Amino acid sequence: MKTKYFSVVVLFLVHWTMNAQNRDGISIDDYYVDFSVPDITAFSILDVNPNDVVRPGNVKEFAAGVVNYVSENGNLKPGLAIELAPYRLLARSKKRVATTWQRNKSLKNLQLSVATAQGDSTNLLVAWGVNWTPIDKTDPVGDKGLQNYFANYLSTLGQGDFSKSLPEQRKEHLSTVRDSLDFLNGNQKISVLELFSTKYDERLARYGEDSVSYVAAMRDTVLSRLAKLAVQTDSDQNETILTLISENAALTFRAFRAEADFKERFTEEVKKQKQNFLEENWNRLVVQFKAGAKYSAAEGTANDLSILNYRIFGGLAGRVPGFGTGDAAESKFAKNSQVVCQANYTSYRDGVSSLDWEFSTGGRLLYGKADKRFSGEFQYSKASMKGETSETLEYIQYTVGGEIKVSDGLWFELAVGGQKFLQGDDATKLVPEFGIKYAVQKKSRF
Amino acid sequence: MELIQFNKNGGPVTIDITINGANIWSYEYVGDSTFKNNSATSNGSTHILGSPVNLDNDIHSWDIRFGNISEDSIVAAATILWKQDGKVLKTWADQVMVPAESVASVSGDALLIGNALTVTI
Repeated sequence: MKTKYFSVVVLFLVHWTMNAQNRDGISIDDYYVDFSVPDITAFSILDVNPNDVVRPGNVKEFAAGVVNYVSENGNLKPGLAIELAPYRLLARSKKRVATTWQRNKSLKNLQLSVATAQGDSTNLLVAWGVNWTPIDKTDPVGDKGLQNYFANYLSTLGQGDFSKSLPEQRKEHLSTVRDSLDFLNGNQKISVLELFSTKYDERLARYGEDSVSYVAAMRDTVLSRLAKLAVQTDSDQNETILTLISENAALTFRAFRAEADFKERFTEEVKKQKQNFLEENWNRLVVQFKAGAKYSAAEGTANDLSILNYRIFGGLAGRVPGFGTGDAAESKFAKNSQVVCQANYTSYRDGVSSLDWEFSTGGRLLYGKADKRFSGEFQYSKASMKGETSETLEYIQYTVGGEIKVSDGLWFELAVGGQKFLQGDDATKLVPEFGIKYAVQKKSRF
Repeated sequence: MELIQFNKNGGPVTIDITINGANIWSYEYVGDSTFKNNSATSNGSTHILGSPVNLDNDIHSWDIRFGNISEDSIVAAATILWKQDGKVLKTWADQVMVPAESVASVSGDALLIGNALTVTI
Protein backbone atom coordinates (compact mmCIF):
# COMPACT_ATOMS: atom_id res chain seq x y z
CA MET A 1 0.00 0.00 0.00
CA LYS A 2 2.80 2.33 1.01
CA THR A 3 4.65 1.55 -2.26
CA LYS A 4 1.51 2.31 -4.26
CA TYR A 5 1.11 5.74 -2.68
CA PHE A 6 4.78 6.42 -3.22
CA SER A 7 4.56 5.49 -6.91
CA VAL A 8 1.64 7.89 -7.36
CA VAL A 9 3.62 10.67 -5.71
CA VAL A 10 6.64 9.92 -7.92
CA LEU A 11 4.51 9.97 -11.11
CA PHE A 12 2.96 13.25 -10.02
CA LEU A 13 6.34 14.78 -9.33
CA VAL A 14 7.77 13.57 -12.63
CA HIS A 15 4.80 15.13 -14.47
CA TRP A 16 5.18 18.37 -12.52
CA THR A 17 8.92 18.37 -13.19
CA MET A 18 8.36 18.10 -16.91
CA ASN A 19 5.99 21.05 -16.76
CA ALA A 20 8.48 22.97 -14.70
CA GLN A 21 11.02 22.68 -17.51
CA ASN A 22 11.27 25.70 -19.70
CA ARG A 23 9.30 25.91 -22.92
CA ASP A 24 12.42 26.60 -24.98
CA GLY A 25 14.21 23.49 -23.80
CA ILE A 26 16.22 25.44 -21.23
CA SER A 27 15.75 23.81 -17.84
CA ILE A 28 17.00 24.74 -14.43
CA ASP A 29 19.65 22.06 -14.94
CA ASP A 30 21.29 24.53 -17.28
CA TYR A 31 21.64 27.06 -14.48
CA TYR A 32 23.62 24.66 -12.33
CA VAL A 33 27.35 25.22 -12.47
CA ASP A 34 29.61 22.22 -12.96
CA PHE A 35 31.97 22.44 -10.02
CA SER A 36 33.72 19.16 -10.73
CA VAL A 37 37.44 19.62 -11.26
CA PRO A 38 38.18 19.53 -15.01
CA ASP A 39 40.49 16.96 -16.51
CA ILE A 40 43.22 19.04 -18.17
CA THR A 41 45.90 16.60 -19.26
CA ALA A 42 47.59 16.26 -22.62
CA PHE A 43 45.67 12.98 -22.99
CA SER A 44 42.22 14.44 -22.38
CA ILE A 45 43.04 17.30 -24.78
CA LEU A 46 43.99 14.87 -27.56
CA ASP A 47 41.56 12.06 -26.58
CA VAL A 48 44.36 9.60 -25.96
CA ASN A 49 43.37 6.23 -24.49
CA PRO A 50 44.52 6.26 -20.81
CA ASN A 51 45.85 2.71 -21.26
CA ASP A 52 48.42 4.03 -23.75
CA VAL A 53 49.91 6.50 -21.26
CA VAL A 54 53.50 5.84 -20.11
CA ARG A 55 54.34 6.84 -16.53
CA PRO A 56 58.12 6.62 -16.14
CA GLY A 57 59.45 5.84 -12.67
CA ASN A 58 62.93 7.23 -13.30
CA VAL A 59 64.87 9.51 -15.65
CA LYS A 60 66.09 6.57 -17.74
CA GLU A 61 62.54 5.35 -18.38
CA PHE A 62 61.52 8.89 -19.27
CA ALA A 63 64.31 9.21 -21.82
CA ALA A 64 63.41 5.81 -23.27
CA GLY A 65 59.74 6.85 -23.50
CA VAL A 66 60.51 10.07 -25.38
CA VAL A 67 63.27 8.91 -27.73
CA ASN A 68 60.93 6.74 -29.84
CA TYR A 69 58.80 9.76 -30.75
CA VAL A 70 61.49 12.10 -31.95
CA SER A 71 63.09 11.32 -35.30
CA GLU A 72 66.78 11.80 -36.06
CA ASN A 73 66.12 15.15 -37.76
CA GLY A 74 64.16 16.44 -34.75
CA ASN A 75 60.67 15.82 -36.11
CA LEU A 76 57.95 14.74 -33.70
CA LYS A 77 55.98 11.53 -34.27
CA PRO A 78 52.39 10.76 -33.23
CA GLY A 79 51.72 8.32 -30.38
CA LEU A 80 53.67 9.94 -27.56
CA ALA A 81 51.69 9.88 -24.30
CA ILE A 82 53.79 10.43 -21.22
CA GLU A 83 52.90 11.55 -17.71
CA LEU A 84 55.58 12.68 -15.30
CA ALA A 85 55.54 13.20 -11.58
CA PRO A 86 58.86 15.08 -11.12
CA TYR A 87 58.78 14.63 -7.34
CA ARG A 88 58.76 10.87 -7.61
CA LEU A 89 61.22 10.92 -10.47
CA LEU A 90 63.75 13.06 -8.63
CA ALA A 91 63.04 11.90 -5.09
CA ARG A 92 64.60 8.58 -6.08
CA SER A 93 67.69 10.32 -7.36
CA LYS A 94 70.65 10.50 -5.02
CA LYS A 95 71.73 13.84 -6.42
CA ARG A 96 71.33 17.13 -4.55
CA VAL A 97 68.29 18.17 -6.51
CA ALA A 98 66.34 15.38 -4.79
CA THR A 99 66.74 17.06 -1.40
CA THR A 100 65.24 20.29 -2.72
CA TRP A 101 62.24 18.43 -4.06
CA GLN A 102 61.82 16.32 -0.96
CA ARG A 103 61.91 19.42 1.23
CA ASN A 104 59.10 21.03 -0.69
CA LYS A 105 56.24 18.60 -0.16
CA SER A 106 53.80 20.77 -2.11
CA LEU A 107 55.62 19.67 -5.28
CA LYS A 108 54.65 16.09 -4.54
CA ASN A 109 51.35 16.53 -6.33
CA LEU A 110 52.73 18.09 -9.49
CA GLN A 111 52.09 16.18 -12.70
CA LEU A 112 53.16 17.05 -16.21
CA SER A 113 51.81 15.40 -19.33
CA VAL A 114 52.76 15.55 -22.99
CA ALA A 115 51.11 13.82 -25.93
CA THR A 116 51.24 13.79 -29.71
CA ALA A 117 48.62 12.52 -32.17
CA GLN A 118 47.99 12.49 -35.88
CA GLY A 119 45.82 15.42 -37.00
CA ASP A 120 43.07 15.35 -39.64
CA SER A 121 45.51 15.64 -42.50
CA THR A 122 49.31 15.44 -42.47
CA ASN A 123 49.57 17.76 -39.51
CA LEU A 124 50.63 16.60 -36.07
CA LEU A 125 48.76 17.54 -32.91
CA VAL A 126 50.74 18.22 -29.74
CA ALA A 127 49.40 18.91 -26.25
CA TRP A 128 50.75 19.45 -22.77
CA GLY A 129 49.11 19.64 -19.38
CA VAL A 130 50.17 20.68 -15.89
CA ASN A 131 48.24 19.56 -12.81
CA TRP A 132 49.35 20.86 -9.44
CA THR A 133 47.66 20.35 -6.11
CA PRO A 134 49.87 22.26 -3.65
CA ILE A 135 47.49 21.68 -0.73
CA ASP A 136 45.27 18.68 -0.22
CA LYS A 137 44.15 18.15 3.35
CA THR A 138 41.64 15.55 2.26
CA ASP A 139 44.51 13.27 1.26
CA PRO A 140 44.92 10.62 3.97
CA VAL A 141 48.36 9.64 2.68
CA GLY A 142 49.88 12.99 3.66
CA ASP A 143 48.15 13.19 7.04
CA LYS A 144 50.69 13.07 9.87
CA GLY A 145 48.15 11.69 12.36
CA LEU A 146 47.35 8.75 10.11
CA GLN A 147 51.03 8.15 9.39
CA ASN A 148 51.75 8.04 13.12
CA TYR A 149 48.82 5.70 13.69
CA PHE A 150 50.27 3.22 11.19
CA ALA A 151 53.82 3.66 12.50
CA ASN A 152 52.53 2.45 15.87
CA TYR A 153 50.43 -0.20 14.16
CA LEU A 154 53.59 -1.70 12.61
CA SER A 155 54.82 -2.57 16.09
CA THR A 156 51.78 -4.73 16.78
CA LEU A 157 52.94 -7.67 14.64
CA GLY A 158 52.83 -10.78 16.77
CA GLN A 159 51.36 -8.99 19.77
CA GLY A 160 49.03 -11.42 21.51
CA ASP A 161 50.41 -14.30 19.42
CA PHE A 162 53.96 -14.55 20.75
CA SER A 163 55.45 -13.82 24.15
CA LYS A 164 58.64 -12.80 22.31
CA SER A 165 58.92 -10.75 19.16
CA LEU A 166 60.23 -12.33 15.94
CA PRO A 167 63.74 -10.81 16.19
CA GLU A 168 63.90 -11.91 19.85
CA GLN A 169 62.98 -15.45 18.80
CA ARG A 170 65.57 -15.35 16.02
CA LYS A 171 68.30 -14.08 18.33
CA GLU A 172 67.50 -16.84 20.83
CA HIS A 173 67.52 -19.52 18.13
CA LEU A 174 70.75 -18.30 16.51
CA SER A 175 72.42 -18.04 19.93
CA THR A 176 71.63 -21.73 20.48
CA VAL A 177 73.04 -22.56 17.04
CA ARG A 178 76.18 -20.51 17.81
CA ASP A 179 76.68 -22.38 21.11
CA SER A 180 76.49 -25.70 19.27
CA LEU A 181 79.21 -24.49 16.87
CA ASP A 182 81.78 -23.63 19.51
CA PHE A 183 84.26 -25.95 17.85
CA LEU A 184 84.43 -23.58 14.84
CA ASN A 185 86.32 -20.28 14.46
CA GLY A 186 84.58 -16.94 13.73
CA ASN A 187 84.46 -17.16 9.94
CA GLN A 188 83.48 -20.83 9.98
CA LYS A 189 80.70 -20.02 12.47
CA ILE A 190 79.38 -17.29 10.21
CA SER A 191 79.51 -19.63 7.25
CA VAL A 192 77.20 -22.11 9.03
CA LEU A 193 75.12 -19.54 10.94
CA GLU A 194 74.13 -17.81 7.70
CA LEU A 195 72.33 -21.01 6.68
CA PHE A 196 70.08 -20.55 9.73
CA SER A 197 69.78 -16.81 9.30
CA THR A 198 68.59 -14.71 6.28
CA LYS A 199 65.00 -13.59 5.91
CA TYR A 200 62.21 -16.13 6.39
CA ASP A 201 61.05 -15.84 2.77
CA GLU A 202 64.58 -16.39 1.48
CA ARG A 203 64.87 -19.48 3.70
CA LEU A 204 61.56 -20.77 2.35
CA ALA A 205 62.77 -20.24 -1.21
CA ARG A 206 66.07 -21.95 -0.40
CA TYR A 207 64.84 -24.98 1.54
CA GLY A 208 61.22 -25.54 0.47
CA GLU A 209 57.73 -24.47 1.37
CA ASP A 210 56.64 -27.51 3.36
CA SER A 211 58.30 -28.48 6.62
CA VAL A 212 59.41 -31.98 5.54
CA SER A 213 61.29 -30.85 2.43
CA TYR A 214 62.56 -27.79 4.33
CA VAL A 215 64.19 -29.93 7.03
CA ALA A 216 65.63 -32.40 4.48
CA ALA A 217 67.04 -29.68 2.20
CA MET A 218 68.46 -27.67 5.07
CA ARG A 219 70.10 -30.74 6.64
CA ASP A 220 71.81 -31.55 3.32
CA THR A 221 72.94 -27.93 2.95
CA VAL A 222 74.33 -27.72 6.49
CA LEU A 223 76.15 -31.06 6.30
CA SER A 224 77.60 -30.16 2.92
CA ARG A 225 78.77 -26.80 4.30
CA LEU A 226 80.46 -28.53 7.27
CA ALA A 227 82.11 -30.98 4.88
CA LYS A 228 83.35 -28.08 2.78
CA LEU A 229 84.90 -26.61 5.92
CA ALA A 230 86.55 -30.02 6.49
CA VAL A 231 84.74 -30.35 9.82
CA GLN A 232 83.97 -33.85 11.09
CA THR A 233 80.89 -34.12 13.29
CA ASP A 234 80.01 -37.00 15.58
CA SER A 235 76.54 -38.51 15.97
CA ASP A 236 75.70 -36.30 18.99
CA GLN A 237 76.60 -33.20 17.04
CA ASN A 238 74.57 -34.44 14.07
CA GLU A 239 71.63 -35.04 16.39
CA THR A 240 71.92 -31.50 17.79
CA ILE A 241 72.14 -30.03 14.29
CA LEU A 242 69.00 -31.89 13.23
CA THR A 243 67.12 -30.57 16.29
CA LEU A 244 68.26 -27.04 15.49
CA ILE A 245 67.15 -27.42 11.87
CA SER A 246 63.68 -28.51 13.06
CA GLU A 247 63.56 -25.46 15.34
CA ASN A 248 64.63 -23.29 12.42
CA ALA A 249 61.84 -24.71 10.25
CA ALA A 250 59.27 -24.04 13.02
CA LEU A 251 60.55 -20.46 13.40
CA THR A 252 60.50 -19.87 9.64
CA PHE A 253 56.93 -21.09 9.18
CA ARG A 254 55.83 -19.15 12.28
CA ALA A 255 57.33 -15.95 10.85
CA PHE A 256 55.81 -16.65 7.44
CA ARG A 257 52.29 -17.06 8.90
CA ALA A 258 52.66 -14.04 11.18
CA GLU A 259 53.91 -11.80 8.35
CA ALA A 260 51.21 -12.95 5.92
CA ASP A 261 48.50 -12.46 8.52
CA PHE A 262 49.88 -9.05 9.46
CA LYS A 263 50.07 -7.94 5.84
CA GLU A 264 46.40 -8.79 5.39
CA ARG A 265 45.39 -6.99 8.60
CA PHE A 266 47.47 -3.95 7.69
CA THR A 267 45.80 -3.60 4.28
CA GLU A 268 42.33 -3.95 5.85
CA GLU A 269 43.24 -1.38 8.50
CA VAL A 270 44.55 1.06 5.86
CA LYS A 271 41.27 0.87 3.96
CA LYS A 272 39.23 1.27 7.14
CA GLN A 273 41.25 4.21 8.49
CA LYS A 274 41.29 5.93 5.10
CA GLN A 275 37.52 5.63 4.90
CA ASN A 276 37.17 7.09 8.40
CA PHE A 277 39.60 9.86 7.50
CA LEU A 278 37.70 10.78 4.36
CA GLU A 279 34.39 10.85 6.25
CA GLU A 280 35.92 13.20 8.84
CA ASN A 281 37.90 15.35 6.42
CA TRP A 282 35.93 15.33 3.15
CA ASN A 283 35.56 19.12 3.31
CA ARG A 284 39.13 20.06 4.29
CA LEU A 285 41.19 22.48 2.23
CA VAL A 286 42.19 21.52 -1.31
CA VAL A 287 43.92 23.96 -3.69
CA GLN A 288 44.40 23.01 -7.33
CA PHE A 289 45.84 24.60 -10.44
CA LYS A 290 45.66 23.19 -13.92
CA ALA A 291 46.70 24.35 -17.35
CA GLY A 292 46.91 22.81 -20.77
CA ALA A 293 47.38 23.74 -24.40
CA LYS A 294 46.91 22.19 -27.81
CA TYR A 295 49.09 22.88 -30.86
CA SER A 296 49.23 21.86 -34.47
CA ALA A 297 52.41 21.33 -36.46
CA ALA A 298 51.89 21.24 -40.23
CA GLU A 299 55.38 19.86 -40.85
CA GLY A 300 55.65 17.90 -37.62
CA THR A 301 58.62 19.84 -36.29
CA ALA A 302 58.96 21.67 -33.01
CA ASN A 303 59.67 24.94 -34.87
CA ASP A 304 56.43 24.62 -36.75
CA LEU A 305 54.05 24.50 -33.74
CA SER A 306 51.11 26.89 -33.75
CA ILE A 307 48.77 27.11 -30.78
CA LEU A 308 45.12 26.06 -31.20
CA ASN A 309 43.82 26.77 -27.73
CA TYR A 310 44.80 26.83 -24.07
CA ARG A 311 43.01 26.64 -20.75
CA ILE A 312 43.86 27.67 -17.21
CA PHE A 313 41.95 26.51 -14.14
CA GLY A 314 42.28 27.38 -10.46
CA GLY A 315 40.11 26.05 -7.69
CA LEU A 316 39.89 25.69 -3.98
CA ALA A 317 37.50 23.79 -1.77
CA GLY A 318 37.32 23.63 1.97
CA ARG A 319 35.42 24.50 5.08
CA VAL A 320 33.68 27.83 5.45
CA PRO A 321 36.34 30.37 6.54
CA GLY A 322 36.51 30.52 10.33
CA PHE A 323 35.38 26.91 10.74
CA GLY A 324 38.68 25.20 9.96
CA THR A 325 40.38 25.31 13.35
CA GLY A 326 39.66 25.56 17.08
CA ASP A 327 36.28 24.92 18.67
CA ALA A 328 34.47 26.08 15.54
CA ALA A 329 36.03 23.18 13.62
CA GLU A 330 34.16 20.74 15.89
CA SER A 331 30.75 22.28 15.23
CA LYS A 332 28.09 20.48 13.18
CA PHE A 333 28.16 23.24 10.58
CA ALA A 334 31.94 22.92 10.11
CA LYS A 335 31.74 19.17 9.61
CA ASN A 336 28.79 19.28 7.25
CA SER A 337 29.56 22.23 5.00
CA GLN A 338 31.90 22.99 2.15
CA VAL A 339 32.78 26.04 0.11
CA VAL A 340 34.03 25.66 -3.45
CA CYS A 341 35.52 28.53 -5.50
CA GLN A 342 36.78 28.15 -9.04
CA ALA A 343 38.02 30.23 -11.96
CA ASN A 344 38.46 29.17 -15.58
CA TYR A 345 39.97 30.88 -18.59
CA THR A 346 40.02 29.42 -22.09
CA SER A 347 41.48 30.99 -25.20
CA TYR A 348 40.43 29.68 -28.61
CA ARG A 349 43.00 30.35 -31.30
CA ASP A 350 41.70 27.79 -33.81
CA GLY A 351 39.15 28.58 -36.51
CA VAL A 352 36.55 26.16 -35.15
CA SER A 353 35.13 27.92 -32.09
CA SER A 354 32.95 31.03 -32.45
CA LEU A 355 34.42 32.29 -29.17
CA ASP A 356 37.67 34.15 -28.91
CA TRP A 357 38.00 33.54 -25.19
CA GLU A 358 35.82 32.86 -22.17
CA PHE A 359 36.27 33.44 -18.48
CA SER A 360 34.16 32.28 -15.58
CA THR A 361 34.42 32.37 -11.82
CA GLY A 362 32.03 31.27 -9.15
CA GLY A 363 31.40 29.40 -5.96
CA ARG A 364 29.16 27.02 -4.14
CA LEU A 365 28.19 26.60 -0.51
CA LEU A 366 27.15 23.06 0.29
CA TYR A 367 25.58 22.04 3.59
CA GLY A 368 24.28 18.71 4.74
CA LYS A 369 25.10 15.05 5.04
CA ALA A 370 25.57 12.34 2.46
CA ASP A 371 21.82 11.70 2.27
CA LYS A 372 20.49 15.24 2.63
CA ARG A 373 22.16 18.35 1.19
CA PHE A 374 21.47 21.95 0.36
CA SER A 375 23.43 24.03 -2.09
CA GLY A 376 23.74 27.65 -3.11
CA GLU A 377 25.69 28.38 -6.28
CA PHE A 378 26.74 31.48 -8.15
CA GLN A 379 28.82 32.02 -11.28
CA TYR A 380 29.91 35.05 -13.27
CA SER A 381 30.89 34.45 -16.91
CA LYS A 382 32.26 36.60 -19.66
CA ALA A 383 33.07 35.60 -23.23
CA SER A 384 34.27 37.38 -26.33
CA MET A 385 32.99 36.38 -29.75
CA LYS A 386 35.19 36.22 -32.83
CA GLY A 387 34.45 38.57 -35.65
CA GLU A 388 34.76 42.16 -36.62
CA THR A 389 32.68 43.49 -33.71
CA SER A 390 34.32 41.31 -31.05
CA GLU A 391 31.04 41.33 -29.15
CA THR A 392 31.19 40.42 -25.49
CA LEU A 393 28.71 38.29 -23.57
CA GLU A 394 28.51 38.77 -19.83
CA TYR A 395 26.11 37.00 -17.52
CA ILE A 396 25.55 35.58 -14.07
CA GLN A 397 23.76 32.40 -13.12
CA TYR A 398 22.64 31.14 -9.72
CA THR A 399 20.87 28.20 -8.17
CA VAL A 400 19.61 27.40 -4.69
CA GLY A 401 18.53 23.84 -4.19
CA GLY A 402 18.39 20.79 -2.05
CA GLU A 403 18.18 17.06 -2.40
CA ILE A 404 17.16 14.22 -0.15
CA LYS A 405 17.78 10.53 -0.56
CA VAL A 406 14.46 8.68 -0.71
CA SER A 407 15.97 5.23 -1.01
CA ASP A 408 18.95 3.58 -2.69
CA GLY A 409 19.15 4.96 -6.22
CA LEU A 410 16.29 7.43 -5.71
CA TRP A 411 16.78 11.12 -4.91
CA PHE A 412 14.29 13.93 -4.64
CA GLU A 413 15.56 17.33 -5.74
CA LEU A 414 14.04 20.77 -5.34
CA ALA A 415 15.73 23.87 -6.73
CA VAL A 416 15.21 27.40 -7.94
CA GLY A 417 17.66 29.21 -10.18
CA GLY A 418 18.14 31.63 -12.97
CA GLN A 419 20.49 33.68 -15.03
CA LYS A 420 20.83 37.32 -15.96
CA PHE A 421 22.66 38.71 -18.96
CA LEU A 422 24.62 41.79 -18.15
CA GLN A 423 25.78 42.31 -21.73
CA GLY A 424 24.94 40.66 -25.04
CA ASP A 425 22.47 40.81 -27.90
CA ASP A 426 18.70 40.80 -27.45
CA ALA A 427 18.30 37.23 -28.66
CA THR A 428 20.32 35.88 -25.81
CA LYS A 429 18.37 38.00 -23.34
CA LEU A 430 15.21 36.18 -24.43
CA VAL A 431 16.35 33.09 -22.50
CA PRO A 432 14.07 32.73 -19.48
CA GLU A 433 15.79 34.01 -16.42
CA PHE A 434 14.18 32.04 -13.66
CA GLY A 435 13.03 28.48 -13.11
CA ILE A 436 11.85 26.08 -10.46
CA LYS A 437 12.43 22.39 -10.47
CA TYR A 438 11.08 19.32 -8.69
CA ALA A 439 12.64 16.07 -9.76
CA VAL A 440 13.06 12.50 -8.74
CA GLN A 441 16.28 11.12 -10.09
CA LYS A 442 18.50 8.10 -9.83
CA LYS A 443 21.62 9.77 -8.54
CA SER A 444 22.75 12.49 -6.23
CA ARG A 445 23.36 15.88 -7.82
CA PHE A 446 25.93 17.28 -5.38
CA MET B 1 74.42 -12.89 8.56
CA GLU B 2 76.93 -10.18 9.30
CA LEU B 3 80.21 -10.59 11.11
CA ILE B 4 80.98 -7.49 13.17
CA GLN B 5 84.52 -7.37 14.45
CA PHE B 6 85.35 -4.80 17.09
CA ASN B 7 88.24 -3.89 19.31
CA LYS B 8 87.91 -5.59 22.69
CA ASN B 9 89.89 -2.77 24.28
CA GLY B 10 88.07 0.06 22.53
CA GLY B 11 85.11 2.20 23.51
CA PRO B 12 81.43 1.31 23.38
CA VAL B 13 80.00 -0.03 20.14
CA THR B 14 77.08 1.93 18.70
CA ILE B 15 74.68 1.61 15.80
CA ASP B 16 73.11 4.25 13.54
CA ILE B 17 69.93 3.21 11.77
CA THR B 18 68.83 5.23 8.73
CA ILE B 19 65.56 4.83 6.85
CA ASN B 20 64.87 6.21 3.38
CA GLY B 21 61.91 6.20 1.03
CA ALA B 22 59.17 5.49 3.58
CA ASN B 23 57.23 7.84 5.85
CA ILE B 24 55.94 5.00 7.98
CA TRP B 25 58.44 2.67 9.57
CA SER B 26 59.20 0.79 12.71
CA TYR B 27 62.23 -1.17 13.83
CA GLU B 28 63.32 -3.48 16.60
CA TYR B 29 66.99 -4.22 17.17
CA VAL B 30 67.66 -6.98 19.70
CA GLY B 31 71.10 -7.10 21.23
CA ASP B 32 71.88 -7.26 24.95
CA SER B 33 69.21 -4.58 25.13
CA THR B 34 66.28 -4.14 22.78
CA PHE B 35 65.93 -0.88 20.85
CA LYS B 36 62.56 -0.02 19.39
CA ASN B 37 61.70 3.04 17.37
CA ASN B 38 59.15 4.13 14.82
CA SER B 39 58.38 7.12 12.62
CA ALA B 40 55.73 8.38 15.05
CA THR B 41 58.09 8.66 18.01
CA SER B 42 61.38 8.83 16.08
CA ASN B 43 63.34 9.25 19.28
CA GLY B 44 66.81 9.07 17.79
CA SER B 45 68.32 6.38 15.67
CA THR B 46 71.71 6.07 17.37
CA HIS B 47 71.87 3.38 20.02
CA ILE B 48 74.67 2.25 22.30
CA LEU B 49 74.99 -1.53 22.11
CA GLY B 50 77.28 -1.71 25.10
CA SER B 51 80.90 -1.99 26.10
CA PRO B 52 83.10 -4.48 24.20
CA VAL B 53 83.49 -6.81 27.17
CA ASN B 54 79.76 -7.60 27.07
CA LEU B 55 79.43 -7.92 23.30
CA ASP B 56 81.93 -10.61 22.40
CA ASN B 57 80.34 -13.59 20.64
CA ASP B 58 76.90 -11.93 20.79
CA ILE B 59 74.13 -12.59 18.31
CA HIS B 60 72.05 -9.54 17.38
CA SER B 61 68.84 -9.62 15.30
CA TRP B 62 66.71 -6.87 13.83
CA ASP B 63 63.50 -6.38 11.91
CA ILE B 64 62.74 -3.13 10.08
CA ARG B 65 59.19 -2.77 8.84
CA PHE B 66 57.85 -0.25 6.32
CA GLY B 67 54.23 0.74 5.84
CA ASN B 68 52.77 2.24 2.71
CA ILE B 69 49.28 3.73 2.86
CA SER B 70 49.40 5.25 -0.61
CA GLU B 71 47.97 3.73 -3.76
CA ASP B 72 51.38 3.50 -5.44
CA SER B 73 54.15 1.13 -4.54
CA ILE B 74 57.30 2.60 -2.98
CA VAL B 75 60.88 1.47 -2.54
CA ALA B 76 62.07 1.71 1.06
CA ALA B 77 65.63 1.27 2.25
CA ALA B 78 67.40 0.84 5.57
CA THR B 79 71.04 1.13 6.55
CA ILE B 80 72.74 0.16 9.80
CA LEU B 81 76.22 1.36 10.67
CA TRP B 82 78.10 -0.30 13.53
CA LYS B 83 80.66 2.12 14.95
CA GLN B 84 83.36 2.14 17.57
CA ASP B 85 85.53 5.09 18.55
CA GLY B 86 84.25 7.09 15.55
CA LYS B 87 85.19 4.35 13.07
CA VAL B 88 82.62 2.44 11.02
CA LEU B 89 83.06 -1.26 11.75
CA LYS B 90 80.46 -2.52 9.30
CA THR B 91 77.63 -1.30 7.07
CA TRP B 92 74.50 -3.29 6.39
CA ALA B 93 72.00 -2.04 3.82
CA ASP B 94 68.86 -3.53 2.34
CA GLN B 95 65.87 -2.30 0.40
CA VAL B 96 62.45 -3.63 -0.42
CA MET B 97 59.49 -2.75 -2.61
CA VAL B 98 56.44 -1.96 -0.50
CA PRO B 99 53.23 -2.57 -2.47
CA ALA B 100 50.35 -0.10 -2.34
CA GLU B 101 48.45 -0.07 0.98
CA SER B 102 50.68 -2.79 2.32
CA VAL B 103 53.65 -3.54 4.48
CA ALA B 104 57.08 -5.05 3.87
CA SER B 105 60.11 -5.69 5.98
CA VAL B 106 63.84 -6.25 5.90
CA SER B 107 65.69 -8.11 8.60
CA GLY B 108 69.10 -9.38 9.48
CA ASP B 109 71.31 -10.98 12.07
CA ALA B 110 74.89 -10.42 13.13
CA LEU B 111 77.60 -12.17 15.11
CA LEU B 112 79.78 -9.76 17.05
CA ILE B 113 83.34 -10.84 17.66
CA GLY B 114 85.86 -8.93 19.74
CA ASN B 115 89.52 -8.83 18.64
CA ALA B 116 92.40 -7.79 20.86
CA LEU B 117 94.62 -5.34 19.01
CA THR B 118 98.31 -6.09 19.36
CA VAL B 119 100.94 -3.42 19.16
CA THR B 120 104.39 -4.30 17.81
CA ILE B 121 107.27 -2.24 19.18
